[in-house]
Amino acid sequence: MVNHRDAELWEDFRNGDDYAFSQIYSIHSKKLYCYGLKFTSNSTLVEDAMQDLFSDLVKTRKNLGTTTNIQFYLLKSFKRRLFRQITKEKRYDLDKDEQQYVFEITYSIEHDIILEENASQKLQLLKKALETLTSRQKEAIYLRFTEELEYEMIAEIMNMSIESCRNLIYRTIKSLRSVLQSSSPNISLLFFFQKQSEN
Amino acid sequence: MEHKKYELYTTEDFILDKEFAHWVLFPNSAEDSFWMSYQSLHPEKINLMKEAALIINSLKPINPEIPEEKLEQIFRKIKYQHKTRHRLINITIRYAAAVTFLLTIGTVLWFSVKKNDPFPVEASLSSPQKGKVILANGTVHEFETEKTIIKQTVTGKTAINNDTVNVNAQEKTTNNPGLNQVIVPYGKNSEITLADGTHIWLNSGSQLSYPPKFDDKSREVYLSGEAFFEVAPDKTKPFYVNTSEFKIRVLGTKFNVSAYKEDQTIQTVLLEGKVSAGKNSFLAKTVDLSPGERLVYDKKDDEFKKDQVNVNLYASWINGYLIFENEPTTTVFKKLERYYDQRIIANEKLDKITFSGKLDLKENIRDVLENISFASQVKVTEENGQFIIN
Repeated sequence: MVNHRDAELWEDFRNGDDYAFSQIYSIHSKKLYCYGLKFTSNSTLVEDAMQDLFSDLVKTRKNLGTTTNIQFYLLKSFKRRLFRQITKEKRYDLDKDEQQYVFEITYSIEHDIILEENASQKLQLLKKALETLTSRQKEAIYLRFTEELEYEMIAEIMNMSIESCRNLIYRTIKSLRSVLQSSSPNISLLFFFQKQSEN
Repeated sequence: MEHKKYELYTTEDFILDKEFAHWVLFPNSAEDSFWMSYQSLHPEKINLMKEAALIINSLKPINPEIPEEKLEQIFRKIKYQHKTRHRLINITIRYAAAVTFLLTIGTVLWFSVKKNDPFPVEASLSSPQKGKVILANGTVHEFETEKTIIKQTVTGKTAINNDTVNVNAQEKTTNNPGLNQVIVPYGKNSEITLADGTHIWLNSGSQLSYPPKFDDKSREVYLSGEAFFEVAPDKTKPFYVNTSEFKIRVLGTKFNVSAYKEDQTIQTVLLEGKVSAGKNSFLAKTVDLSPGERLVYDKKDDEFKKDQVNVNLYASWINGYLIFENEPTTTVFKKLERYYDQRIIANEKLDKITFSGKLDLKENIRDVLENISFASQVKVTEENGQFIIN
């Protein structure tokens, strides 16, 4: 998807237009900050990564390539810098060590008031299921549904093939849905499923 | 969008459908109509769609509140790093001048006006020009009424004096959204209601441009001349008034803006709510206004001044009269010239005389000038359709 407004804004920025820069910052800074806080609760690291990212953008603007999706460009570059900061602090390499990879999300389920019949029961099930997702699943879902990125972009940010990215998201959605399917009025079945998932 | 595409859709397919997910996450009236009509034609899909929507909604994160100041602070650091580099190569920084404002730096979005020319038509505003509404699709509608009522409906249609004239806004391509433009010549005025409920009184000799449909993030309009705004509150979409020199950011409030090209100053006066204003330039500082305050920008000195004023003086014109309080007579005549589209030539020495009082604009200009002459002991004569004042 080509975003002409982004392409133009980016072009203006590369050509030294300072309005364009402050505009890019004001549109994206909050999103980057929120994304960063999912990987670490240390906001200093997040801020350092942001400062690092934007300072470098200004410094190297003449040598930057074109982009038609500024948000994607920034997220990707920001994540790399944030991982560098986290690695420096914790002394382990996040890119290599999947075990240490954290992506924490608080889902808004409990805060939304949905007056749909049966919905609260269903939401409780979803909530439980969401808690069991892996960090990679959570991140992929976040990039897809909160940042609304295309599969190719998510794949690139998460360092995986497009195919496995698509699969990861599809499987995650399917697992969430299967939780709901079991929540039919048949209570005993529901109970059975919950027991199963606890094992 | 084609209905057929969804024929074999499962719940998962709906969840992974970008358009559907976007509609669930960010409901908007433009897409509402599509999905509502889809549902009514395909009731068998309603349960799937409900389930899909439930799951999509459950994926919403709660993002922590990031204070604006935090983001501004980071921004300042970035700029500062950049600046110190400049200082090394010995470029003087005019810091002192800048610091005199009380300010929040730049999270306001500054648009470069040169790119999006807000006034695509260079209109001459002198009579016998008619008023014009130029729609984003290029169609021009003229009007001759003294006071013209323009309404934009939620669907993006435009009505002028209760006649609907517009094509559907959705038919426009979104890549290069054009602007609707209202041009009010001298001697006329107009009242505009935008789709979001914002009410704008456009004074004589003014132009206002606005998109047929606001985007998801902000509401931007462009003004040359004078207008009084009653902005419909919407915290998620700040309202911006762009003038040639500065930009005003609003959250829902009543205020007046006077930004005539030929005037040396641009002013904004706040009646209710909160606005901030700043220059259209990089790292522009913004000045916050509280009710009862006026911000004057002097184009020549490039300076902002803020003071307390009687706000009613600045909003009275929308009700058909003008109130003045110790206003130089020259200013009074300038306003009358615009309002009545009549040339008034005033002796320069009158500049020192001030005028206080209320002028009813429903009267004709002769009577108005007579009232002034009576109150301030100036002499009014009429010559070749011009008024000369001594």
